[in-house]
Amino acid sequence: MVKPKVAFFGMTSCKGCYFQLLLANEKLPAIFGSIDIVDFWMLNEKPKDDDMYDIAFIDGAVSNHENAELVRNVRERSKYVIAFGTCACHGGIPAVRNPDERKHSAYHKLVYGKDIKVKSYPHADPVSRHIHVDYEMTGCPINEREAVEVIRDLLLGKKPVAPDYPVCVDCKKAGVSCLFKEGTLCMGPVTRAGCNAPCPASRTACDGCRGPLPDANWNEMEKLMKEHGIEKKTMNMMLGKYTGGKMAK
Amino acid sequence: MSHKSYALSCMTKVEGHAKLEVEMDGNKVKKAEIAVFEPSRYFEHMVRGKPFDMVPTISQRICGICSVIHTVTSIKAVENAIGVKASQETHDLRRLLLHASNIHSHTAHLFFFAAPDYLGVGDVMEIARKNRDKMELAIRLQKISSGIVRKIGGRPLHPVNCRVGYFNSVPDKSMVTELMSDFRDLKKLSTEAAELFFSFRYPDFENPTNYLSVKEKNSYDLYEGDIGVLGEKGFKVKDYQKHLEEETIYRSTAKYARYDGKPYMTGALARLNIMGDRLSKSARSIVRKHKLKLPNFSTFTNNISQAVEMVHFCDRALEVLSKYEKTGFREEKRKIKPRGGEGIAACEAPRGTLIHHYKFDSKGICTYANIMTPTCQNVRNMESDMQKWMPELIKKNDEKVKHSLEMLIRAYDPCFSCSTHFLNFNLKR
Ligand code: SF4
Ligand code: SF4
Repeated sequence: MVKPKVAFFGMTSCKGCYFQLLLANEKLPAIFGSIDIVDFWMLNEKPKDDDMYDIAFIDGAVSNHENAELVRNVRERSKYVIAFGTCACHGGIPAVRNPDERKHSAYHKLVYGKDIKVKSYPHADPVSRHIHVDYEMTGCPINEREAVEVIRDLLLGKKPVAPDYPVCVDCKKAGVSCLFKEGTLCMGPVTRAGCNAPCPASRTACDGCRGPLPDANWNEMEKLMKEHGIEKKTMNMMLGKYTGGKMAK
Repeated sequence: MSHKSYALSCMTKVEGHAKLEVEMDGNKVKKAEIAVFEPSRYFEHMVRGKPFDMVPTISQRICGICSVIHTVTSIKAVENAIGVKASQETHDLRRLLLHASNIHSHTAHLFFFAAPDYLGVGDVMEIARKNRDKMELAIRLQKISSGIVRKIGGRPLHPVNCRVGYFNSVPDKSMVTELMSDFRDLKKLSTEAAELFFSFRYPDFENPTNYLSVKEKNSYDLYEGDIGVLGEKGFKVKDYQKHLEEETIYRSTAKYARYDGKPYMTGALARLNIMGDRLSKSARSIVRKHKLKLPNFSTFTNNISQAVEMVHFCDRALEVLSKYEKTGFREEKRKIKPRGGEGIAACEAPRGTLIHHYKFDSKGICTYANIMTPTCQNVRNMESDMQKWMPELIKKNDEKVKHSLEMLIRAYDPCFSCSTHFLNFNLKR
């Protein structure tokens, strides 16, 4: 059997999603054994320019011209492109600066002084703003089980489906009692599930790191936030924390 | 001598993007430079205008493998700034997080990035195929250490449970027992790892330099203290800007630092050089058994130092945990009321000293941030090492030069992703 060719690419991110993938532990040898990893920017030698890929993982946000070139190039050479992690899917933490786009060059001067040219875009983009993406694997970081399942589905010729329900469902499945009962505000109701709710399980509010759930009840969420005394400005920061300040609604 | 120049696509097995440029005139080094050209990441700006409790959740995303240490250092700096005192229990839990994440990170560096050099294989995938037992050792170390971070911090990466002022949930008595058994298992595996990394042959290269680390009062730990300098008095963390000068480099998006104008090294080797007399019994006996000379001036010893530390931190963690064996940790939910102010904190990241520095207004909104990562502190020393080593290396062929320099840079366990990233290599001779 010819093993599918898989490649991993990294752009602007903390690379945490790759470390999280390595936490698939015992499953790793099996996965590595059933695919042919032709490019892994972090682990092996130089990228091979002439390869075609069956599956390409792209992590990180597109935040400069080279990033944009890279994703276009990868798209042309790949059958199936996975945006890997919230940075790649929604801009994520690198996009926290997006709402201040206009202040970008002033910002830049502050950190690097005035003599250094601005090479970055004033905003960090989700990969899908530049190319067509076949699967969005969200999470900051991703969930390694989801990664293993998606690879397995693809190996079996099945179309992987991303969870389309809120983190609250994960809480119920994990037997975690709702934080709202303790008076804690939690972003779970408007956040895409698939993480198994590790945060509520440690009595910590969901921060929304897996990005917005399409069709969530945003008005209700805003009402809840108001009830918890959150001011408008902070509310926007919280709702748009992983999406470059943009809310899904 | 003819000026030959060629580019090697990238230096691999370090986390991030950087470029290496060496120019030789005969065996004189004309240029030995490292450029970091990852897109700028603007963390210091992104946290401005954010509420104090959101700041650590943004800062922790500076680096995936260092996320625990960024979280803890960021939280400590925020606490110092807004006037919050954490309890002994909270401090101890954070120490444990640092112990476990240090082992997690060291294992990733040693097995996935460094070991291929010394086992003579291309990459970790090849280790997985050819050295199954070593891969299994690495996987078990990763699994248990990240498991501890998950148990205490809520998630193995980007821990969520560790907040400004307290932990949302704490290990009870039975969890303490479980954690102790985890650290005991880790200790066995770490000892195996240490033996393995002592068995490798490292290049014969020394370059005595300045060694800096956070120096705890009495123990060899990672969590608090003044800055210790080998052979010198050291200085207070609050004076870091007086001694550690950061310069913006035209060729880089990272800022490089010097200590009183000189290059310096920070990381496991620096810690071992500075606090080595406080190693646990087991860690010390490994050092003795292999006749490791301390202080040590070979950059490559950083690999071994990491392995020795892993054993030591298991012992440290067990010491901390034993205080809670009978009782478990006490639950404490607090309401944090910020006041305005300025705060600085320094901790030891796996790859060296990490400093977070913030200012907040009276509402607890961040108005200033400065973050100094270990890699940006080590870059100058990497360049100084290259300066010293190149005249000898140049006798070898290009491929060997490249490989040796890669091994050298890798020994620092650089996280170019932290100091913003990847290596192209240019050699002119
Ligand atoms: S999604 Fe989060 S964990 Fe993943 S690379 Fe981005 S910042 Fe890191
Ligand atoms: S509970 Fe929320 S913040 Fe936590 S991992 Fe899941 S989506 Fe992310």
